[in-house]
Amino acid sequence: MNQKNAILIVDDDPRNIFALKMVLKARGFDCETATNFEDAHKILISNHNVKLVLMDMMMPDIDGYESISKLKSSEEFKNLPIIAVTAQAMIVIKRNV
Amino acid sequence: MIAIDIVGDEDLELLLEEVASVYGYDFTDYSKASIKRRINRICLIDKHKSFTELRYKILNDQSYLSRFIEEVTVNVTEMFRDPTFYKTLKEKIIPQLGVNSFIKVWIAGCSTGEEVYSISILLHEAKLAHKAIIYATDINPTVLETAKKGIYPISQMKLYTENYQNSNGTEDFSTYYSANYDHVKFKEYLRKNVIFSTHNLVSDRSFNEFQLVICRNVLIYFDKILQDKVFNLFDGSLESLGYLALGSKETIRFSDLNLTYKQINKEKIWKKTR
Repeated sequence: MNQKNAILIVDDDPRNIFALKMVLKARGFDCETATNFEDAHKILISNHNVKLVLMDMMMPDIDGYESISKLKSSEEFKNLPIIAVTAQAMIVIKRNV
Repeated sequence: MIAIDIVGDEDLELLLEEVASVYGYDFTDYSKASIKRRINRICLIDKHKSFTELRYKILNDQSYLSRFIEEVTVNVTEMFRDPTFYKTLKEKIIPQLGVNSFIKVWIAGCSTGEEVYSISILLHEAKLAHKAIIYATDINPTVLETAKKGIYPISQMKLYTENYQNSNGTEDFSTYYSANYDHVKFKEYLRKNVIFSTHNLVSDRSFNEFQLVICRNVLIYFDKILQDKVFNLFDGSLESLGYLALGSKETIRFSDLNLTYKQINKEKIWKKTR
């Protein structure tokens, strides 16, 4: 029961979460959601079904860049695929990711 | 002190309508008797001489609004309140949750968090905490701050320890907290898998699917229309075969859910059957 792979959406704006979740659920994916890094980390630790993270880049406190580097530097989550989600499409910004 | 009603029935309707339209907090479907009692209490404590004075303060002073919400929404709770309820959770429900690879519990209207720590203790004792997340929500940000800290008066510990033991708790209850003068602080690991967040049962949508939803002694303050609305929210937030737990004076018997939920052990716990 409930062994299906899941996607974790991290975004401080609940409207973005809602939109992404709708699209992903319609395609049969299980979704977990968090509005900040701290909650996302709690979910990742307890839910081993999560196989992919969609990470918003612009968040207050710990932003997406910092969240990704925190996860990538931990032994537990260094191999976890993370997709950066952002509306900032300028080349200068792209280099930061 | 003579109990005088500063706020009458018509005043109450007007005030609740205005609070709903100006601030988006909708108390219009709350049980009128209890909300009126509470508003009159606020008038006494804060020394408002008339309804007009209270109304002016609420509508023109945003910081006073949070005080108003705090007083109107009730915040009374205990750890392991109604021990037989926790006994049933411990013996019948929690082991069932263990079959899932990831356990999600929603405590709606968690107030100052006593119930959150009780459930976290049960999950730890069942050795399921490592794969569980508790979402603890309340409409009131101030009580959530207390819940996050997990600091309670030491004078409560006698009652909480008795409740814990009566629910068939077998550990030494004092291992779950450290005492400091007149307060105790519950151990950090008990909130490691808890996500605290504001959520308004009246206006906010379902935000996840859970195997267990606990909402105790919140619905008694709601009228039938609002109760039905919240029951539908819970139904939409429960996985099939999930459990809904309510307070000792609350029931789903008079709602649509009665057809698809089965009561467990005569406790106020129901299993979703589809």
